[in-house]
Amino acid sequence: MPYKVMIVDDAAMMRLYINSFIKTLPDFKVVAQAANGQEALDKLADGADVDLILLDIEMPVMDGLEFLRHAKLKTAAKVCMLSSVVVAGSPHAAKARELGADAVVAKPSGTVSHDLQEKTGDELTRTMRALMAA
Amino acid sequence: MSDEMDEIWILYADDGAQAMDAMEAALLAIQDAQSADQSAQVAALFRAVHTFKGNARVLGLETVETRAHLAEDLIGLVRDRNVPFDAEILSLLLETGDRLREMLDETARTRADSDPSATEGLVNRLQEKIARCLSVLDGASPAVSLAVDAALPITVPEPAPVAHLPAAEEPAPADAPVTPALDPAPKLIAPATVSAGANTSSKLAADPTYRAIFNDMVSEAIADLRKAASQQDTARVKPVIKRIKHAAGQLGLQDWLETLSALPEQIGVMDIGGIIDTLNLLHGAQSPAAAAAPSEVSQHGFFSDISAPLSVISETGLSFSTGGALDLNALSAAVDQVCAVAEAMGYVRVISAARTLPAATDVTTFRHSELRLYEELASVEAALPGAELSETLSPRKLLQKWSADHVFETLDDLDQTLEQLRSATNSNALYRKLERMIRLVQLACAHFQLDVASDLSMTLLDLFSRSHMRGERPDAILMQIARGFVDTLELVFDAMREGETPDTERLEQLFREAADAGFVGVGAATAASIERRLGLPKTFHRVLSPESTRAASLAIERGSKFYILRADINTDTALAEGLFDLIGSGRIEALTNVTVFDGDRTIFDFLIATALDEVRMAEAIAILDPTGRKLVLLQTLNPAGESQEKADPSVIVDPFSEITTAPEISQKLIEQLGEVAAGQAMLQNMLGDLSETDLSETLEGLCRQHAHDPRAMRQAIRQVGDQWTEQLRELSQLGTQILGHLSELQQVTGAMRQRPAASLLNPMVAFVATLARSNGFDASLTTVGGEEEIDVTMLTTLRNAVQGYLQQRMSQPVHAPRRLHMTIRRQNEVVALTLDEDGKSIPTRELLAEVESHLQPHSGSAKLIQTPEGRHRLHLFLPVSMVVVEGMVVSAHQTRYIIPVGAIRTILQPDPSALLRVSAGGSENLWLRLNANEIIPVRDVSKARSATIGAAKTLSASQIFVVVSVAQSCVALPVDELLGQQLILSRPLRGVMAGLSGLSGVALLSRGDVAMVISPDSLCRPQALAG
Repeated sequence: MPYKVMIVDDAAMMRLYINSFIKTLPDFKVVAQAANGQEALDKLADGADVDLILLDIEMPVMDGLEFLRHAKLKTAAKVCMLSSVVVAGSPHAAKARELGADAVVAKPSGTVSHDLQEKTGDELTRTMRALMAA
Repeated sequence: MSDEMDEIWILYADDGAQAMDAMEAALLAIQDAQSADQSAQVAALFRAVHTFKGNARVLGLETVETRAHLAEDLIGLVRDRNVPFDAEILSLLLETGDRLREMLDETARTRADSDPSATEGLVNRLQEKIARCLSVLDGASPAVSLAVDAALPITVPEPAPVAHLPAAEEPAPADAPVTPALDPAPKLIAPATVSAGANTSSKLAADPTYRAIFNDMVSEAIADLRKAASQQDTARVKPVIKRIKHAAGQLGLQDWLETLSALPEQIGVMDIGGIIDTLNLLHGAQSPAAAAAPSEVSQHGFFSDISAPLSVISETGLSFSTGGALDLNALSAAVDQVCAVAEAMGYVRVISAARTLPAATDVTTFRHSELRLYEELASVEAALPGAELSETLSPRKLLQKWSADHVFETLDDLDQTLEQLRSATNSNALYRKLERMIRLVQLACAHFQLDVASDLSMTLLDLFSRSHMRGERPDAILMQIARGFVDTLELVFDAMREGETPDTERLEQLFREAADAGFVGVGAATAASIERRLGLPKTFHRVLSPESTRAASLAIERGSKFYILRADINTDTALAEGLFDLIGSGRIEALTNVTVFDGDRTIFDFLIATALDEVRMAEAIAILDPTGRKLVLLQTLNPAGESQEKADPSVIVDPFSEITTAPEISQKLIEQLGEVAAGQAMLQNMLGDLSETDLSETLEGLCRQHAHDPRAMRQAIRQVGDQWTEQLRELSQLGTQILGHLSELQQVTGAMRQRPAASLLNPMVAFVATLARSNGFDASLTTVGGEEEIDVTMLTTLRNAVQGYLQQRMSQPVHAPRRLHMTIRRQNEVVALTLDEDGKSIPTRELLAEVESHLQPHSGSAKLIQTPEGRHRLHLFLPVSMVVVEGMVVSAHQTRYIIPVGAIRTILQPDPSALLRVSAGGSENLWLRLNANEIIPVRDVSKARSATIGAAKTLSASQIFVVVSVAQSCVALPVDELLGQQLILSRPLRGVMAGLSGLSGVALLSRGDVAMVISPDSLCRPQALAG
């Protein structure tokens, strides 16, 4: 049975890109999507059963770091930050680690990365599988 | 300290002897009563060995401890797992008892550990016996296993327990599974007797330890099934089901047995999901939290509701550490209570962490579980609004405190882990350990409010984690930064432990290096460099990835145009696709983009590189968005050359761009030194030429040559004399120039020694807070005067003096000050530091003497007064030495004086009628009328001791007066000439000169003259004026 993934990103195009990318992975399946942290929390509270959350940081209403604080209490799902502001060595990456993010992957070309699959696809796949195997 | 250690060793010898007596007595009793119930003797035997082992561990006697631990494990198998107490065990334990007694005598005498090689044979036999017993047990109960290694003693030292906090060595990561090693009973007071039959099974099912182990097994099974599903490996399913079924049978869980028995023989990939759901369903019903009725969180809040059960957990941890009696029923109830409260809040991770506690079988696993629980509780604390937090329980602070107390051991471990990581082939476990260590270090840094170190630790964790996820070894740069981090932190914490202000500059440097590590690793320019060259808006700060940075560099090299394109495309998929098609066409390149929020709307700003000029770019986007509302060309960027990165601070503010002025000063210094060296070389050359000339011989020659023509002789001699005079003048000028350069050099070096007082005050704020925290209370220091520029030696002297005072005052939690205020003022000749505090006790004379001892070598003084409000005020005074002053050079009575420009109110040439002669005290003094309402005394700078100028003094009609003022007091100083303004380095007056009033120092002028530095303070002092 594929691992269940929730995508949390305010950019509709980005959700599309990530979703289409995950469709290429047989061991993962997107079961939920949310446009901000609050919406994602609501979906979890409604019983969304997910194994992995791909989480953007900069979002309206509730950003990814705030969501992470709550999500780390209320779900056992692994959380992978997928954001343009978590390049290696950035303050956001450090903060995400401090708050318990299980993995951090930088979007290659900003908040909407049309080249996600091309540039970061391998890294993202490897990270997602490593998290599920842990 | 020595007395205490003596006492501990005596206790060790006495207790050890008693324990050995008890062990021997129990063994003999077992030997003599073969058929009777041995449980009482076995329990006594276990207690004796357990006590002995604990004492050895406290004293770090590893060899003794390991031997005792093995014996304890063997006895545990007899006591708790029904291993028959056979002759071999009896013989082994009798031998162990003898050996332990020998080691006790030896170690109590030598106070050092025993030689491990002497008992290696015994260790091997004990391990073999344990392994054989286990293999028999495993055959009977495959649901649980105990690795032979688990019988090996744990060698990590036990930390001292902290109130409410587990006496833990290190926390487990949030997702770290706790190995369900089934050896719980050695710690039980009244262990369950395991025997065959349904009755036994139901007893096992009721035992919280077994129940927790079973829960963990189910979790593992579910994870295994998920893997099997993802890999479409149905062959793995049956063994998993069989394992769980067997364990359920052992525990007598009928519902599990029935459900699992009903599963089909042939299982396909599609069935696995259903099986997982079934296991989850049963698991939920079985879990302790589910067994306990979900409760509501009371009005007191989450933390208040769990504080009582947490105390029980903490006490259990303490008992584990000290070998005291355990009450596992109470522990189980406490865990159930925590789970029930957490369940009501939906805190699944808290529940998961709490559930691991009853499964812990020894101090190490209990430590891991308990610390893991506290980590989860700290996460709750971080997420809860302030109002919901408990006033008495702060898991986050406790974790930080514990980490701070153990930071040196953690750093040591971290260092070793880094070393292992360098050469490891299978690094998964090492990376996990590394993460734990770094998180502990971060907590310690947070405790001491070392923000840079705290951020740096998380940045390092991030960088290492990325390497791990990529399946790579960390590169050399990262390893070097991490090593530097450990070394520097050791120094920082060491300084803090000694009460000194730590030097955190190196940490900041490492932080910069770590922030750029990702870029350096791929050979890219740094993001900050590109940001500056393009003049990017703030919103793009630190968002450029190494790839984007490299792409931007290439685009700059190609001569591309750069634009910021604002795109409102989040709700317009067609427009978004159109834009991405344009990007995909290669006509424009989207280097990166950032989100701009407009209320709930999400808009994107793209950084575009393209060959299109502004008009064509505008055309391209107009085709996509004819309305011009959703795609807007926001900004055109003009890249600067590599050497002229844009430095407009309003555009990009680099937090670390405030480069110290030291390099600039150093350059100036080198230039000055070069001037002096060149001048000196020229001087030497000219002097050499002169010294090689024999003047007498030259003159004699001329005399001989013109012996008959006295006129020609005079002319020739005059010519030679003129040449000499000219050369000497040149030499004199050169010497003056060199003196001038030396004077400037003095000023430059003097300026280099100046530091803002903030460099003392700011660390003092942290120092006070740290002292208070380490003594268990909170205190705050406010400061004024950070902008004053003060010589670094004076700052160091003041710091040393005040630090000792603060350490002593803050050491008594009850009477220590809570609110402190520190002020630094620099007057012309004195630096004054005032510390005002509200401590409840009066500072002692000894303390003041200690403070004075720091100041006296520098001619400073200290004074302590009590304010009417009952506060204590410490005044420290240090005379200024080597101060750089902007001064007006004047001449009076053929002497040069320097008047500090800051004290000059005005310079005037008054009409003689403005001078007034005033009789007072039997003498006439001269006063100067400044205006209709103001008359000020005239003072003679050359007669420092006279209060005012004598009336008999004759002043010229064109006399110049320099009016000097300090606060509200003014005096007029008559001078002959104003020679100009310059920066001078004032040195203190020494010897007999030090007694002169009205003067504060002496300085070398740029022309090489020496000048006296006027002291406006002493000239304007009331008593001086009155005198």
